[in-house]
Amino acid sequence: MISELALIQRVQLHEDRHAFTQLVKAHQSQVRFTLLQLTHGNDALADDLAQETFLKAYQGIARFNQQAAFATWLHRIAYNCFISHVRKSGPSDETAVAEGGYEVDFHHSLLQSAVNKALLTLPVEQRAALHYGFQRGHSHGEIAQIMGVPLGTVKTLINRGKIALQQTLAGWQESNHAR
Amino acid sequence: MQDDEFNNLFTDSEPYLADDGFTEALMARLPNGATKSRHQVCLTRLPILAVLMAMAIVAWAIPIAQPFQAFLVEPLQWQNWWHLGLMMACVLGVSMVWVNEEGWLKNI
Repeated sequence: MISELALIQRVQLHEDRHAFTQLVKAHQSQVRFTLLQLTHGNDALADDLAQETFLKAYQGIARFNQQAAFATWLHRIAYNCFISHVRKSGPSDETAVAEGGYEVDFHHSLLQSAVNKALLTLPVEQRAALHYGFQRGHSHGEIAQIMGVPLGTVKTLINRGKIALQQTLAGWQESNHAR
Repeated sequence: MQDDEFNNLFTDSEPYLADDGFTEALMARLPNGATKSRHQVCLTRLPILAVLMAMAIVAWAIPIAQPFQAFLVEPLQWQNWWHLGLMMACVLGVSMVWVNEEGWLKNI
């Protein structure tokens, strides 16, 4: 099995499309799920942005210098694509919730589904910070790199997001126990 | 809800999204020869480095502080404005080319 680093080097040096295919297959689920979280579960938009992300990654892979993990680098591109989209289309599009696609596509436990739904109620920066921190397991430093914000801002976003999410989930648990 | 319980909620909340033709569609859109090799990236930086070197030689030959000093002493002289403008345009131009080559403007 070829390591991720070897695959990256093949793309960088020889424009090896087969190697890039393997990189895409390894990361597509994570990138698409992240974008799904950021776009309020709009799967068509998330996939479009994911395609744009990988296209940009392919075009700019020569600049990837292994200072960060490849996944972190990819998520940085994905987050930038998402922010560019929000800036172009305005905040109204960002808050448009595609309720249907989310529930039909994901077969989760009720609580897991509640977590994902609760995340969608948060402001985009808090949602992104919580997603990268808890679902992706990135460190605060990596989140700061991905989102292009100072470390202190990341900590604030996570703390505020956690409080808001805990309140939402506590309400959900109470209503579920009552049933 | 306790912190540990809260953290655990996230660890299993991510599904695996099946490829469903995503990679195939992407590979079809991938342009040929789109990636810049490290060699090419270095080559694109050569003109910028050449301009920087030329500026350094000019700065060495003509003391760089002279236009600024002249501007401070005689700010109403149009030649001083002209010299200062030329220098600033040169620095700004090189910076813009550099920023563009690095792709820093693409996501703004």
